[in-house]
Amino acid sequence: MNFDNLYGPIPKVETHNTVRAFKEKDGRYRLIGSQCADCGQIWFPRRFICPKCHNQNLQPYACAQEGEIVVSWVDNMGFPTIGYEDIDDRLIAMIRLDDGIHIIAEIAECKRVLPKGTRVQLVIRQQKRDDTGNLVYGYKFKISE
Amino acid sequence: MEKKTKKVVVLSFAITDRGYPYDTPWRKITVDAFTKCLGQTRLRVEDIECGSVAYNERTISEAALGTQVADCLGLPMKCSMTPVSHACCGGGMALYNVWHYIASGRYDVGLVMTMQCSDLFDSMEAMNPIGNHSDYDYMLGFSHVEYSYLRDYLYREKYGYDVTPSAKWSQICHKFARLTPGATEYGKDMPSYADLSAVSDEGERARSATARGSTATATILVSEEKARELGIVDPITCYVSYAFRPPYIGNHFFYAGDPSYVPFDIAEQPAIMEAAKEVYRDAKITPEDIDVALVHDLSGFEGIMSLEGLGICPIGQGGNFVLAGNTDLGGKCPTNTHGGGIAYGHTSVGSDFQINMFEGILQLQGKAYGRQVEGAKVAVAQAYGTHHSLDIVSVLKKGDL
Amino acid sequence: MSGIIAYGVSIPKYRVDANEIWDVWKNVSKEILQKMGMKERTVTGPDEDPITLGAESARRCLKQAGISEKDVDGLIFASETNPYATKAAATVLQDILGLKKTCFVTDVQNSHRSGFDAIRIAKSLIDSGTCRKVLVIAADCLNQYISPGHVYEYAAAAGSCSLLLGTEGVIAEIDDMRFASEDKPNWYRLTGERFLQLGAGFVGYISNWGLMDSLKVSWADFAKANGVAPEDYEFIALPQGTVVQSFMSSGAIKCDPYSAIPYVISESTGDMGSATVLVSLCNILDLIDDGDKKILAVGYGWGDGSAVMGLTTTPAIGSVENRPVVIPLLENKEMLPYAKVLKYEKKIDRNTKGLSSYY
Repeated sequence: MNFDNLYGPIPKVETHNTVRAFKEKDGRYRLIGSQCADCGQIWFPRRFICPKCHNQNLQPYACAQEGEIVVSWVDNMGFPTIGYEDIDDRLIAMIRLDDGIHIIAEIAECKRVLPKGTRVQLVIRQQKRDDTGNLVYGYKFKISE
Repeated sequence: MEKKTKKVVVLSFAITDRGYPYDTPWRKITVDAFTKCLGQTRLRVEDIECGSVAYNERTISEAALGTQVADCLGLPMKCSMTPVSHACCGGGMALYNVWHYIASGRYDVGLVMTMQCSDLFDSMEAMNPIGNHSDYDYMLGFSHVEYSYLRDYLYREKYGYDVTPSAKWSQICHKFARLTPGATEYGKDMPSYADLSAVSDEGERARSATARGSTATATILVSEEKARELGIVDPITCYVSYAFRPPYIGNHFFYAGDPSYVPFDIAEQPAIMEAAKEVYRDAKITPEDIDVALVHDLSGFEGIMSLEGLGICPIGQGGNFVLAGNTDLGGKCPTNTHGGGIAYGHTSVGSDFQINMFEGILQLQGKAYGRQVEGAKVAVAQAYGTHHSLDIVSVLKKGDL
Repeated sequence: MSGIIAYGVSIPKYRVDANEIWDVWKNVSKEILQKMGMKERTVTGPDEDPITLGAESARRCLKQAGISEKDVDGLIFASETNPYATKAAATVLQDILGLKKTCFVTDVQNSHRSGFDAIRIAKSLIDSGTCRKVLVIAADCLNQYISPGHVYEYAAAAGSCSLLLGTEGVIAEIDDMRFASEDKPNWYRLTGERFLQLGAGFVGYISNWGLMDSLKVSWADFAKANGVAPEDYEFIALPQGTVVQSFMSSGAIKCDPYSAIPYVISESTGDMGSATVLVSLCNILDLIDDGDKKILAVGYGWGDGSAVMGLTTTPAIGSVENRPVVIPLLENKEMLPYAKVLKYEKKIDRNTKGLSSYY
């Protein structure tokens, strides 16, 4: 049994909470960014003003779900990020999606540095739990099938 | 167009000693730094007219941090104290604030406070999630550390370097650290070049910044009139500028929002270039005038990229610049003569910018003893915060009044 | 007639060898282990659960169907290991897949039989004209809910299967489905409890009393209603928590076990809960290129009852691209040591109040 709550809730470092995570779920689940209806520039994460033409006519835009590795690195330095301790040897990569958007993401189920140009595709995985305890799902990538 | 600002003079500065016990509250280190700084001047507490304070966690959790600090130091009630939360270069931002308060002519004496205290977060590693808090929704568990390694790997791949530039950089910094009494590494044995150039996790750690623990700094700036009134001999004037990049790392690649950033990705530092351009114009210098550069180097390649951003060497040539010994004493531009991140550790807002600035002042004052750059007249200090999403560049000049 | 339009499968990459677990516990004779046909089983990574597995199989399914996600107007998520005790996990999947908000979305929880129940509901929705295309996602992570040292640890695994049902572009028509239900508590987990409990042991007939009894009833009903005999079916997918379970099932419906054994996959995956039989069904669909092939799929939910489903393929199955689906997933694997399995399945108690990764 877990007696964590016997003396009331435990205050934690403010990071995620359920509401904040909820608001950005489309970006996390399906890489929904923004496209400027005026200049056509695409953005991720989503924006409310276009930094290129400064108009506010931004529409939801679904980024490409496949891309290639720009650079990758295995995080095995011995100090895992809070909430991600379960994943040993996380492979972190900068990914260039097929539409030109760049995304930093974890490569699931891979523990070695991948060469530049390796094809990867979007998957959904559990991220850390939010401060209220809910599960946060979000994008990771894995080597293309 | 020429902007009309007053010149700003650094009156005094202080950093706390290392090795505070764990039970030290932040108020104690704040008071220590302040009294050490004020004690070097003929000013009294009542003379402080304005100030700015940078302290990451407390700025988030305590809304009125400025008041807390002003109260803790016993500053006069009319003294304004603006809190800054700007990640690791928060110290630079606090300076930026106070510089403008004085340059505008409204105030004559200003206080810059920075602090990092082992309250909840004891080390740079544990602070990682906070550093990305601003964009945490999309960061999904990435930290400075991940950014820094991706950036270094990309730089190496793009410009064709192995680890040797970083090893050489850290070797020079280790040497300087043994000449700097305030450094964490002072008095310790020098690591071998074989250790520093090892391609392994241990090698990476040996080439990276160390940790320092609780640290606070204080700097007092005065206007040019006040400096004359106080009869300062050989005043050091300072200039400071700031530029940012999008906080989301993916947007560092070919960022379409600013034409000047389009050609670059994380292997270059366009925000440093922008900030440097502005501050060089204000200080009326060119990169060739720089006698000593003090840059934020949590890894060797980070320092190398900063040198490129500051225009001290061409983009992509930083590695060769370092390998040729140009950052050592007697080189083209002696760099991080205090030992940089290896000597002073990554204290984040505590002193990451301030140690660079203080070393610059010591060099200009000719007080850097064994590591003195002869005849140094112009120093540049730089720091960044939150994976280079904001950069501060400051120029220090001697004999500028 | 309504039936399967497309299918997708997802199986975790990690596996553990049964001998690796046996070396630690030795809680069953090795002979029995071999007789039950438990060689290895899947292990979820620390970031996987039925929702993530379901999302992956559903994406593959929609990709095979080649339709827009906006054309789906029903989503039923079938699982007995839903991470949420109250809200629907299906709504998370709805968002992940980008389905429209007016989609009919719900969860079904009915032990290993959840997938069949979801197909039954989906078929009804389609046949009644309420929905045109319904996505059924069956996913389970039994491995996370079996306590270390429990004999079922050798078999309890994870996996997911998604089926898109509708009336246009059907590759396998669903001829009929028949069910038999009864409360036989030989498999349960009470609210708030961490681990599943086998109510009737593990080895031999007693553990499968529900299976044998229930299958006879549902099969008799199905055979009578459709006027069929086991010999009419060339391909059979049977309950296969362990390999021996499929032999027992074949006895219950009196079919030739060798019409089912070639399609049994649980030897290399373990028991994937509600997805197991459906993945076996997908394995069969992978192998068929012609219409008019008869398939029998038999499901059994411990504690709930059984289901029998008859399918007939259409010529459209020959034009399905990127097959086989199942075999490459079985082959893409990485073996893990037992200690790491315990960590990944979150069976090691840890401090939950840490300030950071250190403290």
